[in-house]
Amino acid sequence: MGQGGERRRVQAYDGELGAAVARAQRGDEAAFAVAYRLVQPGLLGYLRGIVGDEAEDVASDAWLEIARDLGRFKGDGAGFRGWTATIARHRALDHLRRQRVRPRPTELEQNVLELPGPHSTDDQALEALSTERALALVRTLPPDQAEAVLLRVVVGLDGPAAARVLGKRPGAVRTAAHRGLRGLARGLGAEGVTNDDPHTLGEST
Amino acid sequence: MGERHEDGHTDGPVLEVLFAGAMRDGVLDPEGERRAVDAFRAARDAGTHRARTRRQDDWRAG
Repeated sequence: MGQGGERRRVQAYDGELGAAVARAQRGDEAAFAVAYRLVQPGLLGYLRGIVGDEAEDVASDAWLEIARDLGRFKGDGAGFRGWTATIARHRALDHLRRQRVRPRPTELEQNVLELPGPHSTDDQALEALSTERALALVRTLPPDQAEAVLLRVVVGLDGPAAARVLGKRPGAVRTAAHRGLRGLARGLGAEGVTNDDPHTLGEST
Repeated sequence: MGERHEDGHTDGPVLEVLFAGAMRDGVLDPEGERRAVDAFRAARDAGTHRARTRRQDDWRAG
């Protein structure tokens, strides 16, 4: 059965990340910078999906907390990604509460969705996907599906870790992620995506 | 890995790779890294990293 290829790619760095975190916890500043570079792309991608343009500011807040609480963390590289995603999520929710606004598809985003992609022939429709288009698509999803997809695919967490970040049952997160991916595929105009493929996220059930 | 099918649709893993790549795209801001490392140094030097592990900080497997 298939494995989540993208998640596996992220996980390939987990050994290096775990080692960097351990050294950082013993005071190694350069190791902390390594951990930052390994984690920040996924973290920022996740935050873009939930707070949009404010992602960098929210990430900055998250890293202050991560840097301060680093000594409290216990776990490996994968655990560190779950721990940092949880911190980032709390900062994002605080931010949204302060703004009292939830991201909604704007008219501009809807227009982006309706435009043909950069390559509009059927068999090249997915060859390039801009950040803007990916963001517009993820914002059309219900928030629970968006978060599930972002945590599984962009941050690269496994099912149990994503469920822990969200404070939900693993089954509910798995369902939300599958639905979210189907929603993204539909939004990209990928026809024929009809079945609920449990192999998509590398799961056996 | 996912495949492109005869009818032109692309399933699962390829979609994930494209989506993840698009969302993670972007050059990292060196200023952001500098701020984070500064915060790390300040916390380390203040002894803050000796704080205890709370339940939410324990991500050990099993």
